[in-house]
Amino acid sequence: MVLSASSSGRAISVSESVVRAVVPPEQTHWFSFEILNDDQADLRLALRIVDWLESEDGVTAILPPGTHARSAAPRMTLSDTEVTLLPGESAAITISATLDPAADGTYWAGCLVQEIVDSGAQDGPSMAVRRQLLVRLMYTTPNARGTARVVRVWSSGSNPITIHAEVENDGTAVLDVITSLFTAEDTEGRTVFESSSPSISLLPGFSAEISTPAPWTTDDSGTFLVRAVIDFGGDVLVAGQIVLRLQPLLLVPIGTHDAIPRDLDGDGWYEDVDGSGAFDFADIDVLSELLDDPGVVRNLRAFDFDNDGRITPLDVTGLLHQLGENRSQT
Amino acid sequence: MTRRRLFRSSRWVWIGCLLTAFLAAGSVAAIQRSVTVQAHWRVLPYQVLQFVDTDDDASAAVYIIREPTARDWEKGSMEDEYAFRLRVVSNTSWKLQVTRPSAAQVAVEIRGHGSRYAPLTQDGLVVAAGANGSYEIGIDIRIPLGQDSVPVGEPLNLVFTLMSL
Repeated sequence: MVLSASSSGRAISVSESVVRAVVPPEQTHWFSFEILNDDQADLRLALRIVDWLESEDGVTAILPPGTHARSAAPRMTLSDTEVTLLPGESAAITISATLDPAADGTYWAGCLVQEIVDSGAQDGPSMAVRRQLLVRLMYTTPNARGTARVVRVWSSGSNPITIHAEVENDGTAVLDVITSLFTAEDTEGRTVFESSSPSISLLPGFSAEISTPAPWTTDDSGTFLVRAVIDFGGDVLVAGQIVLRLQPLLLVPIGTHDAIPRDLDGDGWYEDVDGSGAFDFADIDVLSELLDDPGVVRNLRAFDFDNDGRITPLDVTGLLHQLGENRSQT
Repeated sequence: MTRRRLFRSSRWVWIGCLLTAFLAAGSVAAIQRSVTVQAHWRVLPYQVLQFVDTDDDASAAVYIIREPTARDWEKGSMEDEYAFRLRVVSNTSWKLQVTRPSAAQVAVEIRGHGSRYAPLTQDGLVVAAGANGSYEIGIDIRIPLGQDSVPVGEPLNLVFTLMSL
């Protein structure tokens, strides 16, 4: 993906891609936007009101109208359901929405602008490609309540450690800008870590996970108060906190070997499991045979090669992967 | 300098001072009478989704799947980098996702150029996202070659959807 400045080709443009309006119940909100055909050929477009919901993997599911409890779609109308635009021509589309008398909070839907393509018959196998744009529409009643809470804070991984916070919009209004600040203090109250995350928006009834990488390496140890402070745009901040205890490594020879494991490249993982001074297949063998050795279990952070926070056979796979990468580089 | 001349010159000084004071007072009054106008405007979050034609004769709406080569069969897949080029212009944060409207079709993997391939499904896949600006996005296609070989008959359908974040 590259930033681009030129504009040759065929384009569909919408003058407004997201609308946020305050609408009292039973009052009708009117909204118009323009669609421009910047193609060199006629453009046929179908328009329809749809619902949309965000999934955890970041994909927006486009759904039939009235799919979810806060759908505005059943009380919306569209001025046109199909338009044909000549090259350079534009059309104004008007959408009206009237919220239910008992409406409280944010209700949303979308207008899907779909290109109608006649791909025709092809001699061989082919793909027909269609473009569409989703204009998001969000209507919020004046009495809507904007609140959020931190459901939980937790850490994951060993090297690197990641701090997570789950934030829930437990109010009735959409929260357009939620910012977060992660901090950690040591036992003497000194701030040892501070990190902010990009802002997110959150629809009512939904939650999101915000995370940030922590600075600690496997050589660090101590007890830390880790806090996630969330600013959702209200009069108060909400926060959650945990105590993170990082045990110091107490490395001992694994199994019957004489030398202690070593971190040969300073990446925080102790790949030289047998302490021979070299990273080779012998280390893979030792780890796979002695995964439950107290010297491994006690020093989880040194041997958590798949960084899942546990010692499992997958750490042997992770170590093997590191060996493969190591050999390909040398 | 005679006393009369001194009087005349000091009179002019006094007149000058009075005029200055008068003008200054007028200016103060003018300032007090002025109106502060606040102009508000909102930049609308517009978006543009464009096919970038790479060949004047080719239709960007239809992608012809080429015949697999011996090397494709050897690799087990047929890959075409930059099968499509799309341009997104947006003055707000955006994402572009791709879906296939129907399920009963041959497996296709897709990616925004430079990212990882993922199966093209009905649930959809985000192939690119960005902040405000103008972006050109290359779309790569990979078709695993197996017992089903490549699709024939009805074309595969791909739908690219652009939206604000």
